[in-house]
Amino acid sequence: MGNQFLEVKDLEVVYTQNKKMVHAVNGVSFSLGKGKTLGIVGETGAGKTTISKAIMRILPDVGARITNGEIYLNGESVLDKSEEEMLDVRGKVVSMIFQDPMTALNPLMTVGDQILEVIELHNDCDKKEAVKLAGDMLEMVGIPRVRYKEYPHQFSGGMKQRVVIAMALACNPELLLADEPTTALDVTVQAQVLGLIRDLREKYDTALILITHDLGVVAQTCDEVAVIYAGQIVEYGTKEDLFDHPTHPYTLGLFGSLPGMAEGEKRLHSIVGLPPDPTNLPEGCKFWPRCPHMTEACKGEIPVKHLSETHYYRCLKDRNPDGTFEDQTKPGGNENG
Amino acid sequence: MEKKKTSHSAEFFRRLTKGWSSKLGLILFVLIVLVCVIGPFLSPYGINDVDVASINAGPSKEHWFGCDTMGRDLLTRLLVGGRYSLILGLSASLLSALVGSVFGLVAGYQGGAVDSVIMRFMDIWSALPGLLLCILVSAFLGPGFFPTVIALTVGNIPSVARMIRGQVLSERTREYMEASKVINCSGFSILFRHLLPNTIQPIIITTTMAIGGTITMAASLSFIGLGIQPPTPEWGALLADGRRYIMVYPHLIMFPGIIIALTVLAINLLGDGLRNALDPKLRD
Amino acid sequence: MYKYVIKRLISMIIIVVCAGIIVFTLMYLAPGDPARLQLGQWATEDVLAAKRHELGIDLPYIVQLGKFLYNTFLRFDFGISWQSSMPVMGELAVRLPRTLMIGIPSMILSVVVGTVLGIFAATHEGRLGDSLTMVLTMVLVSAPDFWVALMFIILFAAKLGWVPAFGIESLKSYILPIICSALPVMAVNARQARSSMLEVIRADYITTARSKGQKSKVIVRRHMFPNALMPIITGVAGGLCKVVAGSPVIESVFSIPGVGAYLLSGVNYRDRPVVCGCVVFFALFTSIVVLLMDLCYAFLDPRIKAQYSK
Repeated sequence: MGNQFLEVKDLEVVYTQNKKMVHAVNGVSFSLGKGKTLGIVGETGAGKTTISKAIMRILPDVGARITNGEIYLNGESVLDKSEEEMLDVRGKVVSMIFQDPMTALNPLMTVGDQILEVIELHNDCDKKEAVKLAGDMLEMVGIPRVRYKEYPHQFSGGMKQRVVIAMALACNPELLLADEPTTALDVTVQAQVLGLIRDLREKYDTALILITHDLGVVAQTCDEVAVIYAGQIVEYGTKEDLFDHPTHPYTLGLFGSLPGMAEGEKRLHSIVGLPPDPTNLPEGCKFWPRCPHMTEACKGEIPVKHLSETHYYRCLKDRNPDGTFEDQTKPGGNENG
Repeated sequence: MEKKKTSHSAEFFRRLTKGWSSKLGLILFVLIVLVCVIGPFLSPYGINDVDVASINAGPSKEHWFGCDTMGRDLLTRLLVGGRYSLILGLSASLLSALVGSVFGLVAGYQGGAVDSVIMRFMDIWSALPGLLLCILVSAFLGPGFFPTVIALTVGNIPSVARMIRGQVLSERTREYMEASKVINCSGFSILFRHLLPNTIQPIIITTTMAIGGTITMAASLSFIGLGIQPPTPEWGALLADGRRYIMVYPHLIMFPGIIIALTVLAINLLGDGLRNALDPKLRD
Repeated sequence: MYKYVIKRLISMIIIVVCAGIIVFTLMYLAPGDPARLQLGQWATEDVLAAKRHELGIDLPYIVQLGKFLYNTFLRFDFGISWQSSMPVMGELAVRLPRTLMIGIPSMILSVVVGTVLGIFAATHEGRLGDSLTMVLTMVLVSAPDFWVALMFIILFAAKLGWVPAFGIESLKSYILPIICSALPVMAVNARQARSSMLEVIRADYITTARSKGQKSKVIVRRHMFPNALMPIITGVAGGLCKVVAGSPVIESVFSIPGVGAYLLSGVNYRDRPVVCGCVVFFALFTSIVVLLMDLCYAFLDPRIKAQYSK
């Protein structure tokens, strides 16, 4: 390790809300090579957005705290940088596409000026050139230059997301964090926006972290996938690992809730129950209250198991080739937490 | 069905009293109402009993809040006056909520010309700020309880109507409205069985919030010599009474004002709590 | 945009004229004989009739109304006070500066202090300073302004003797009225500013701006402030309207001969020209303030501007 472009180690983030501790991210580690794409998959509230905001250090000033862990970008520790140094990282080295294009743009500024803002911050060029560049960015994402002086309310959701993408890519960042970039959009527009991100990413060789809850999007876009549950990576592997050999019960649950094309499938399987209350996470494996294979031992320490160089998961059980689970530990034979 | 209903209201009550402020408001309000209702029966004095020995006397063991310029027990007068003030506030707010909602519902639901006419009418109505309108109507109708209720009501109607209309307009675009049209509901039924229940919460919240303002408004009116007049011991009238002796007998001013402020504070706290409990947008 | 302004101006004139008609009618129908009110209980019927003729109230309603509208809105003449026999317009011109002398400073005070308090509370959300501000403003919203004024008179004028209790002899006399009319409006503004600031702080576009690497100072100036400005403008306009509308009560407490007190005396003496003149003035004042507020909105917010241009 150490020569990767981005490395996140044991990241823990805690929010304080109404005097309660919300454990949003609980020991997440992953790394990403230059120009690679990582998909982070999980339910709403699993801590996906928090991870990306932590990488950019734009967590809310009040209430959010990185309690543990390290983040290295190009070998430099992000968490040790001063706020001023971070200003040069944000928008320039790392930039972010937000979930909801409807609210991500300042309603009182023209879209052109909002793109211009980031260019002026990071490019050494005069105003005229910067304006031209901002216009170029608009055209690149498929918006005519003449709409430079229009305001966000004059754009549709998909168009707004294009503006956000133009903004994020304006300074050729080395890492792009896309936080559910298509969730708020229509299906047809989703495909366009994803295609756009993919094209631009390839053009500039930008590394991408794609946060989503849509496995289909992951299959189209990503090299590696991290499945995250209650602020922990429960399974990690290449796209092929995950799609061909999903192992963690939660991952399997996610696949079960995809509409399959296979014959005989009459209804979708859903994962029973709700995501855990982040102010009061269960002991041991965070998934046991919803897991069909739960035993008492699951409330204890959970090991990380490697299936291959690239593929690991966090569960007590081994998976049989036929997809069933064999209890490795005898019930009650282990210490309970 | 019944059980579900009670658990629903229990949940509402729990949410209402969640914060310390709305709890305080509720307790204070109930206390003030109880004291105003029961207090005068327990008091050894009547509102017009004159105690010549203690004219203008300050607070004492016999007269907790002192006596006024005619030697009448101030506390007793305050408690009886509270009945007037509270009933004025409640009835005027309810009445304006009622009339305002009808205007707002009809305008928002009918749209078009009806809407324009009603809203222009409201514009004219509210070209004069509330207090001025109250002064004018009160002067026109003369003093007394019912004229004052009307005067207080008139000032509140346009703002209620506007708010309800806005609410209706946003509800109209919802799918359930389409649905009720599709199943051929009559206009009346859509209005009262679908729109009203969905706008009732903001109506309740604004009405509650308005009670406090209305009590203050009523007090202002009688203070400047309109509305309820002395010797009726309405709170504003008591203040108007004591005002001439402000330099010498400040207790005549202090106690009525504190009571008004406490009552309005209680109602405002309660209104805040209600809004937090009812308005899902503000709930976390 | 110009079309919109013109449309608004026309509707404003219509509204003010309608308000005038309504007030005139109310005063026309109000019980009590103005002639008798002026001449006293013992005046003979002949004298009363002569007085009615002099005041022009023996004419049919519609003629009186026509005269009133013609004089008020075409000749800008509010008539002559029945009570004092002085022109209403002249009296308003003398009294208006006194009312504004209270209204404008107290509006500024309430907006500035209210906004600062609100921003302070929002940036200290959930902490002691926030709670204290919220409690304080809630108490200020609840206490009747005229009672607070009376208590201030007791404390600062009677007990401490810092300022005069009544009248307008010196500029000092304006201090208490200004503060007393500002307090409740300030409290409302503070609560409003707090909630709108909180909304803006949490807004996604602020995160976007941060993610661009923008300095927090610039974020506050370029992104937060313009978006939080709308409620502040509402505060300015609403505050001015409220203070002027509350002038009858505050001016009565401090015995200040302003427009509010004029209206009140007009109401008490059934002095129709005075009441109608004051009401038309108040309606005009409110409408203009609201119009200016709406125009400010359109100037600041392209979404609202777009609506108006349609």
